[in-house]
Amino acid sequence: MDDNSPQAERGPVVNRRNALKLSGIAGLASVTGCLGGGTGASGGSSGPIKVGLLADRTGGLAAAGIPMYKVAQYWRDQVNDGDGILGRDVELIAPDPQSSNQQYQNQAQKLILDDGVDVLVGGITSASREAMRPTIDDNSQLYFYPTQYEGGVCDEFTYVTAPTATQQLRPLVDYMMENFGTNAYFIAADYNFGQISADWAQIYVEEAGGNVINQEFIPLSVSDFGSTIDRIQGTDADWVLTLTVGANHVAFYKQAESAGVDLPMASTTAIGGTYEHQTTSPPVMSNLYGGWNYLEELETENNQTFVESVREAYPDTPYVNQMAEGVYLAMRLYEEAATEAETTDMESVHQVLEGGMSIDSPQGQVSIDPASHHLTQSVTVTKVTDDHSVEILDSQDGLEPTWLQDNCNLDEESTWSDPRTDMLKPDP
Amino acid sequence: MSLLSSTLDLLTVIISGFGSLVIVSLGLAIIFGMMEIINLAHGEFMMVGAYATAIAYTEGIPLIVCVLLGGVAAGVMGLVVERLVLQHLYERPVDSMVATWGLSLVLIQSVLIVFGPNFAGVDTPFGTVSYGAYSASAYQLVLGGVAVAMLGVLYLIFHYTEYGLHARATMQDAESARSLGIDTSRVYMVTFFIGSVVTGIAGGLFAPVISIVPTLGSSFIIEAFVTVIVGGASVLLGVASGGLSLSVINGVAAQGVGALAGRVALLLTAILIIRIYPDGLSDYLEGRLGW
Amino acid sequence: MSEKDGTIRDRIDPLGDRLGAAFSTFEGPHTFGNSPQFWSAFLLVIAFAAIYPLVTNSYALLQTTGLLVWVFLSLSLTLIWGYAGIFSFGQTAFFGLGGYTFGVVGINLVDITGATTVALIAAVVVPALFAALLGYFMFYGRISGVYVAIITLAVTLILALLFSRTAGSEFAIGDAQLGGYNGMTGIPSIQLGGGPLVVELGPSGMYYFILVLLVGGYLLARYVLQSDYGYIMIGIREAQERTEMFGYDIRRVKLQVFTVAGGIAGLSGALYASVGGFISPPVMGLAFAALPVIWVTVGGREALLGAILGTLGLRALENDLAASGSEFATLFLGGLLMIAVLVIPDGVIPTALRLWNKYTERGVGE
Repeated sequence: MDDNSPQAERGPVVNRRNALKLSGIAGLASVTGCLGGGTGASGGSSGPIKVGLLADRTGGLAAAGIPMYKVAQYWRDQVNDGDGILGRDVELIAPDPQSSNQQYQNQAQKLILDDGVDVLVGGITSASREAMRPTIDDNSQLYFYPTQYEGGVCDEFTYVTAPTATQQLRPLVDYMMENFGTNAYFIAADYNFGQISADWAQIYVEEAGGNVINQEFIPLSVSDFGSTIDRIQGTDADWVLTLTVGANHVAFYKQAESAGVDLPMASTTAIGGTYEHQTTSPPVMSNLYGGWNYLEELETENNQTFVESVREAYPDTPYVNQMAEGVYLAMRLYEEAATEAETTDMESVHQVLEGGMSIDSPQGQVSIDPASHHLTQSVTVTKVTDDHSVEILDSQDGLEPTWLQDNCNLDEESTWSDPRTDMLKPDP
Repeated sequence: MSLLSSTLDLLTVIISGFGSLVIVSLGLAIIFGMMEIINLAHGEFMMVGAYATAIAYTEGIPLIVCVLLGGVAAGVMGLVVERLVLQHLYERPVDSMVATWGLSLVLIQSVLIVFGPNFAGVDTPFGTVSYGAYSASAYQLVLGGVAVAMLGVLYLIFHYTEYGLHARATMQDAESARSLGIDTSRVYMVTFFIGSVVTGIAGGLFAPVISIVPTLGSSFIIEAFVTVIVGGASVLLGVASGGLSLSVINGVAAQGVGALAGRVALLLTAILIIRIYPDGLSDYLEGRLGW
Repeated sequence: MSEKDGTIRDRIDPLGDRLGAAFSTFEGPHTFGNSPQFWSAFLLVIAFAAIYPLVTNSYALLQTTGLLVWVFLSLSLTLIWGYAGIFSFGQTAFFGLGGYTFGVVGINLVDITGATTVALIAAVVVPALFAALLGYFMFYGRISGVYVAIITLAVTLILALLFSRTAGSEFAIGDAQLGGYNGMTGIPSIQLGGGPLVVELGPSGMYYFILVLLVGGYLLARYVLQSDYGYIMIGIREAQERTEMFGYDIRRVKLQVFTVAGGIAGLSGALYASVGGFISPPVMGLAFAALPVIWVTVGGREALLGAILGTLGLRALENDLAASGSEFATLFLGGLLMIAVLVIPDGVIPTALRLWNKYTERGVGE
């Protein structure tokens, strides 16, 4: 740049050139990064079948999400080592939503509209699922939700391969009432899942002639349970229902242990999702009963083979939790349904699923309930022993998602062109 | 439920609440009081201390040594951070917020990558203490005593050492301190180190009662900030008065209503105190009591 | 030697002359970009933005729209912080209130009026009222500096806690379930108008609507900032007591600016809720409260463009990092923040423009 010429001579020509240069740079800057790739086409008939997985691998939910990812990879390897699905390989696309609902929404959009996945699996908290459902529904995307939750999703495009609160609580509450007494004390995480599960548990306790002495709701961020433990000790409770969620709530068990609380506890949340019996030292979690459709410790032959194979292929899998098995169920159901439908067209696959598809799985036989798109499955009552191993107690088979069935009739009332996409809540 | 039992009950909750608030906030108060830096990575310094404690514990080292090692680990890390990043950001509180937020992301993710999402826990020592039908965790009560001890040790450091003299002078008026020949840059460095060590020890002290995950810091940061703000400018008096008043408020609200009410009460108190006594309770106390 | 004085202007070509005259109301010492070159670049970017939906696919359009909704949140922070020196750490409180208000009013009225115009207005007014109350509490109580940050942070955290508690079906306003921690779903998309004349905005429509709001808002902000009122704001930022001694009621000005910023943040929330069809309490939590502060700091807090480009750039980066699935994603982001604060303390835009000035010796602004 010639700085010595007088301004006047540099005047008009250089100004226009500068203007164009500046505009060009500005224009270029806005172009890069804005034009997305991909065409969002799904249901193609050649090339790999795209399976989208959304499970957090970082952030507060990482402990739950990492096993989901490992098992998904294991399934993909199994399929690709065999004949694939319809002769095609599976491509697993797994972004990391980083425990943020915002990212769940974003990445769901990317998987559905940009990558054009043939099936979407994922979501840990109900909030993450609800953040995705508008996009899923608007784009008629076949979707599986693999995590235990409070129940209520009645959505044409969604299949739930996880237990609902009612399925888990019914056998557990019955067991505790029969074996320990009729006075129950509830503590629950202070958000939808905890609140609604507590509602259901209260209904079951009272139906069985019992009495809920008190219910306490603890925000997810609280890790100090001093007052709660004091209150529990001041009552004549026979057992405690502990619907604790998240790393902060694990402190409850440690603090209760060191405060000398020796009441039996029951939980449909502890150990099955974030395996606290392996991350705390005995006897913190001992004397804890649970109601689970799946635990790594289930003694079916299917399961033992399954867990061993996963560990062999991915030795850094911390624990095969309920969500991981939910992911496996989802992908196996998809595999079978697509094979039977002889296409990856999502609506056709859905029709096979909605026909009441049934498969054998690590937890035993499961089948899809056509009315609610949830599973009919067995639920086992478990107990954590003094050395933190898990004892298998009672088991109820063929548990249907009854409340949902009464209120949700997807196979008769809803189609892909005129879908029902609700989230139902029980009346208190 | 007799009146005596419920009173003892409330007292236990307040004592352990006081202990925990003081321990958690002390390091933050030292750093904020001296350098006006808002350390958004405070929870992660605790996390580093807790992890160091837990790692040492799995090697069979006695708990108290583990806790001190936790302090050392956090202190060393703090020194590195201070020299590399924070010393350039004094008197830029917002920039220090952004930088420490970035630091917290780096710390959480690094720990996750190296140690995975869960780590083996530390056992809670000392067993239980009973009175009547109640029993309480002796450890939680012990923490109340430890909090007082920490306040005492820091008082000695700040009032009976040369460093302490320089530190108090710098806190009061950095310009004048410099013109008197005090190396304020070195004072800041040592102060940040001490604050980090204290925070690391806090993490170690809490390790037996929480689960050891990379995100464990997030449940402490709000309480720590609220205590420091309510307590106000004077470090030790502030943390003590803030800790006491908030543990009473939280205790009464949580006992009376529920955990959510306790949490909301804590935040509302912070808002009210700032409005009425912007320089915190310690300022009010110093004025009223002539300290 | 000023490069903007009349003798230079006389010599530039007619287009530049017209541009300079047309945009002179938007120019001044308080904003970046004060020359014909800047405005021609500006017009070019607008032109590109206008044809963007025609040249890209639906996914990219949706993503870009999703990025744009956040810009208003950052702009609200720039106005009160970059220009009036009020550091609020709780703009997400108004963002959340705006989103929830839009959801509640929208779900209830959309079938009756056929449009969400009322909902949109409510989503700006309700947070603005709340901001007015909070602002009165703070500024007439002489709270300033870091204490404003703490109070606003506490407010947004309290709201996040309270909204998480609204899970039961009894927490409904009319037909709208608040949904607790799971959030509110079924939020309608924006349909403007009312009665017989209703325009439902599809994806392109939403994009253009937001673009128009953004450009209009940007120009309006520039206009205000160059006016006397803008001078008072900056006076408050630079030397509060002195400005007050000149007779200006700084408490009232702060209150006004804070209220308007609350409304803008509320608008941001409403747009976010309607684009995604969803809103949940974590948007008012600690992690989200920090985000606009970070975007604005990195982009440049004293530049409106800094807020806009910082938000778009960082938000897009966050999305790409999550898509990569890499475990180094947040590590990279954290490191980037630390480096940005150390190396580019004034933010990207002011620093970039300063460098541009240095290398070209041309005035594209200060």
